[in-house]
Amino acid sequence: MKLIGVLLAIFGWLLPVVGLGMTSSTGARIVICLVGIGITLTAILKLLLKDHEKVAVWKQ
Amino acid sequence: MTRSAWLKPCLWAAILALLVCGLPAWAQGQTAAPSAPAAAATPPPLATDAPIPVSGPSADDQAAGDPSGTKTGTANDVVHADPAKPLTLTDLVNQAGQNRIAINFVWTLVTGFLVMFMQAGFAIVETGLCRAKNANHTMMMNFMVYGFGLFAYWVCGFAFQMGGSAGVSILGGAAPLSHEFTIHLLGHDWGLWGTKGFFLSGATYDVGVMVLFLFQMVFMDTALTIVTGAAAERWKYVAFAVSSVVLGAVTYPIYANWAWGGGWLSKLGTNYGLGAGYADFAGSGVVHAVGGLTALALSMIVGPRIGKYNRDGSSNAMPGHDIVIVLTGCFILAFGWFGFNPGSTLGASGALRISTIAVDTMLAGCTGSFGALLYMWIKYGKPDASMAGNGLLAGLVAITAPSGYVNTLGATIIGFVAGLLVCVSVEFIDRVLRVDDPVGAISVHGTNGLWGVISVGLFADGTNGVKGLFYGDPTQLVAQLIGVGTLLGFVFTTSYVLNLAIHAIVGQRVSAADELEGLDIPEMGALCYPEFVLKPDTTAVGAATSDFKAGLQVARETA
Repeated sequence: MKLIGVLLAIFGWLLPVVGLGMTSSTGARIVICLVGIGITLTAILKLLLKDHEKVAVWKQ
Repeated sequence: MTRSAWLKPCLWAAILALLVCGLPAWAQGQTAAPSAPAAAATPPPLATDAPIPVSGPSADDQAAGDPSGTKTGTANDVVHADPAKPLTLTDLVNQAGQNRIAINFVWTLVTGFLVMFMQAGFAIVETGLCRAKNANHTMMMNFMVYGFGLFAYWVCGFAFQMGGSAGVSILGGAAPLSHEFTIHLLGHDWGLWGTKGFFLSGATYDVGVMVLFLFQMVFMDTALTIVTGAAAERWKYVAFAVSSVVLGAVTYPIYANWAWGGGWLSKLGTNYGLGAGYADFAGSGVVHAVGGLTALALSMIVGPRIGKYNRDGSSNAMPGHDIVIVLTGCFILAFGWFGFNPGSTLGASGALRISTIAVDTMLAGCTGSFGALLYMWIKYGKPDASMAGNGLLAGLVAITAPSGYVNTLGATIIGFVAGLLVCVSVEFIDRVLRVDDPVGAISVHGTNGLWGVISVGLFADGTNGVKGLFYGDPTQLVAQLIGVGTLLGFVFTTSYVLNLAIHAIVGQRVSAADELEGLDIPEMGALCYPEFVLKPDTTAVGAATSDFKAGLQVARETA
């Protein structure tokens, strides 16, 4: 789960960076950036955090 | 009186006024306008080594003393290349250049010293927000992070960050920092890290480079000290030491290179037409978001403190032990921020916007504390002291990136939003994410660092070369969003993976027994307050409540 979370977070970062070369439309670039940020946040807060919460001290 | 009867005297009065005011102006304009272009007077060519017939006060004059200050700082004080000969034009020009750089050196060094003093502010804010049984441990993390960070930065961090940043003209060029490791991809060059300046050796043994090193080093150390607050009260000291060295040597410098050292983020403007490229004037992203996101990674890895959450996931309030030092620390930080933001011009000569930057900084801090104060007062019925302090810091964090590019109205709005945002973020991180952050570092520095980066793309007014969405340039916002994505996707994941590796090798968290006892004795070998009688730990049996008000009540009852 941690590996998937990390890879997804990196993907969410690289998406808008690579997307710069795919379109020159400012609106499209903003949308791609927001999608990328959303993917990264999901990876961090849903996948990675939930994985750590499984072994949190208050759950034991 | 009829309407026409009113009109007549008014008309005459208007004509009279026009004559009185307009005639002199017209006459002035007539005399000012040249009747024929004057013959262009060609100045004689200046011989740079020709003697200039000037002289300062005589030795007798100076020996008599100078109570008015008019005989001190004259032609006598200009350095002659050849003391045996009279003053030349070359001497004068060299002196002017030397003075400009000297002013900028002094400005950058003094503001760097102010930023260094912020370490003291961070130390007492974090210690005050922790419990008394961990005070020595928290203070010692904040004390030694300065040394660990400085050492790592001297070895390689500075080289990675600024090794390819030559051309800092305001500090004389810093020419020895001349090589950036770059890859060619997608039709453009992508600068990744610098390669000059390891150990400040070789050609980087240079006065300009030293100024740059000192200033950048204290910034880096600010990022490092943010992390210690979020992981306080359960972070193993040896893990803290290793983690700080890694952050100061690798993670921080790489991102800082991309933003400030000539790396790819700073070139988004020239390569992709995105405004002026990623713009982060004094480091909302580079310093604060890097520290805040690393703090998030660490808090996730070490987990919450014992007693912070109940079995149903509800959270307990765990108040700090000294609000006096918390708010004193906030004042020290606000004072140090006058070095942080205005100092980021790297000079005063030729950078007079330092006044605007300083005013923007104080305004955003002020409205940040307003925002947090109002939020807490309206929602919980009391103006919470620690959140007012965090609101001040949140406003300062948020204005750090845009301080060089926004007007005072923009700064006021940015600060106020930051003050509200820090309260919402603290509640969200505490209750929804269940990430334990004893001092609110993730919200103050992480959330508001990201807000500061975005706000450049919205509020920059174009006065200093960066124009945001509200002033007509949406492309700058794209550059800022890519910066945010990089902070989340690169900085967070790098910090997370490196700290997982440290966790696997030395372990990040202290034992439960040590944590309950307090870390002062088990980790540091001495109590911070040896003459105090510390109360037994009540947090583990604290009331099961996620309600802030009820938490406050519990804290009052157990106090």
